[in-house]
Amino acid sequence: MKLRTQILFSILGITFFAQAVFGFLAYRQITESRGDQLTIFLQYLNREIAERLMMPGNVTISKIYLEELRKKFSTPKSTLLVQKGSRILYVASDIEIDIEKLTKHFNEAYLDSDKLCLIDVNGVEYYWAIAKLPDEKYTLVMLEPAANEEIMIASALRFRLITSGVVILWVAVWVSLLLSSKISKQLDAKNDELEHLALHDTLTGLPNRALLTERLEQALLQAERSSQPFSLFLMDLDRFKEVNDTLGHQFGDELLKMVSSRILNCMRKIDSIARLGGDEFAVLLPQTDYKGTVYCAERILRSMDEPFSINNVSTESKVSIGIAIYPDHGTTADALMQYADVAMYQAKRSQSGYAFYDPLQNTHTLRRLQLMNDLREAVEQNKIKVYYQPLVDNSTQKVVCVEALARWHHYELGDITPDEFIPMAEQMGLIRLLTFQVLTQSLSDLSGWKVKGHDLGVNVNLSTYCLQDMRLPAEIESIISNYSIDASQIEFEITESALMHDVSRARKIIDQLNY
Amino acid sequence: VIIYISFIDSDIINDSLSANILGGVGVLSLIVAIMGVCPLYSLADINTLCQKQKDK
Repeated sequence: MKLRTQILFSILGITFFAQAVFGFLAYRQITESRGDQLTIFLQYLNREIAERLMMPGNVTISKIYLEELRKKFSTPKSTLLVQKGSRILYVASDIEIDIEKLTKHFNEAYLDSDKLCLIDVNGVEYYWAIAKLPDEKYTLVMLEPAANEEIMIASALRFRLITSGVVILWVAVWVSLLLSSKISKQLDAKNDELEHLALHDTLTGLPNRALLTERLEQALLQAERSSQPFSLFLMDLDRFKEVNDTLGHQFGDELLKMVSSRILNCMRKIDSIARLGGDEFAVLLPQTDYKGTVYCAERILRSMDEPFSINNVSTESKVSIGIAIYPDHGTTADALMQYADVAMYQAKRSQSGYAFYDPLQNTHTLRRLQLMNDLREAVEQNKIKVYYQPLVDNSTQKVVCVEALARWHHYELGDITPDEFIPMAEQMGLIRLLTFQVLTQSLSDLSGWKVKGHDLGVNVNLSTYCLQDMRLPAEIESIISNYSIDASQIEFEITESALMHDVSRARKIIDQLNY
Repeated sequence: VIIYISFIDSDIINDSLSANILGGVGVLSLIVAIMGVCPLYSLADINTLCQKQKDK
């Protein structure tokens, strides 16, 4: 049952219950008010009769004696009767009463409740009250017809009770409808919001991994039924981490939004695009064959050709797309995700823009994944060593300068060449930290050599990604100031391993470094 | 029915106050039925039209 209906029925139920209780109590109040007076009167009468019965030479209970008592203590219209068990022994009354019917009605009423003080006999309503005589064998009952005025009041009250009941019910229905509608609307909105939050990325508004997995499962079922292939793209932005670190997270967030918007523009309505986290996106292309997949991948790559302009800073961003196709590459969601991931690293390494999953490349990719995993730890724990290549002046045959070279010895895979791990560091956004580590180590060594009488210069490689970081000159200055080194002894070599994001920005930083 | 038992056949409800209140409810309902628009419906966001009419 829907929440709205539940609230509606709950409020209506409470109203009905309140109405029933109110009606019952009000009606009982009307009928009992007279009955209570009679009961008090009967108790008094009972005491009188008891006293008389206990007097010496007392009179036995008879109809004549009962008549006397009635005339003495009650009203002319009242009826006094003595019962023994359920049998009526004597009746004292001026009016004609069908004793048989009265007995039946009275016994029914008496059995129902000893407090029910109004009974209807042949259309005439009687109040009644009861008292037991001291010997417990006999019961004294007094009946008095309800006066016309009382009947009219009771009737009017009954109608007013019914009317108020109907009106309250009518109002309650509307109140419950309004309340249930308002509450359920608010809850529905909250639920929708929570569901959206649970299944969508807050930055780009795109579906997240959970929703993508759900859609992927649906696509698998549909593809199984229709025997049609579909494709899964996994893509990430090349060197996004570097952009994020150098230009700030806000810039990175804006870039992600723009990238997602461009990818969306390349999609059909039936396609799904999701942000899996960081700079990683996924695209699900249902009912798409190899040709359609290539077309779509190229379209996405073309959409990234135009530079992104954010806050007057222009930057280029490329994506690497890994593609897995159902059923050629895998038939389960997990397999397709994994293979698309492998293909993505393949595309990144080959810089081809996109790559289909190739089982032969899987092993190579596993090595790369392991290296990427370990490189972070190596940089963060300062495990990258600095080696120096001397530059000798031919005329003097003396070493005048050294070139600082970063070397990484992997505990399992042995020496890793800079050609392999430097691009990785650039992609993973570790290049800035690595550069500072190399620079600090070089200056420390240079300072030590100077103490020993070797006054040398040092060349340090600087990635173009570092040239996007406006804080770089100040931080280099800070490092230099820690050692007694003249800034002219340091030379930076700018590597050309990557495209420069923003040439004018890089120019400014180079000028500051020269200064 | 409510209007009939409230205003026309006075034997059913012989209390004028009750009859007037009930009759008022009946008249309100009749007006809403004739107009075909109930402000409370829009407040409560209730729509009793069938799906096809809603879509139109």
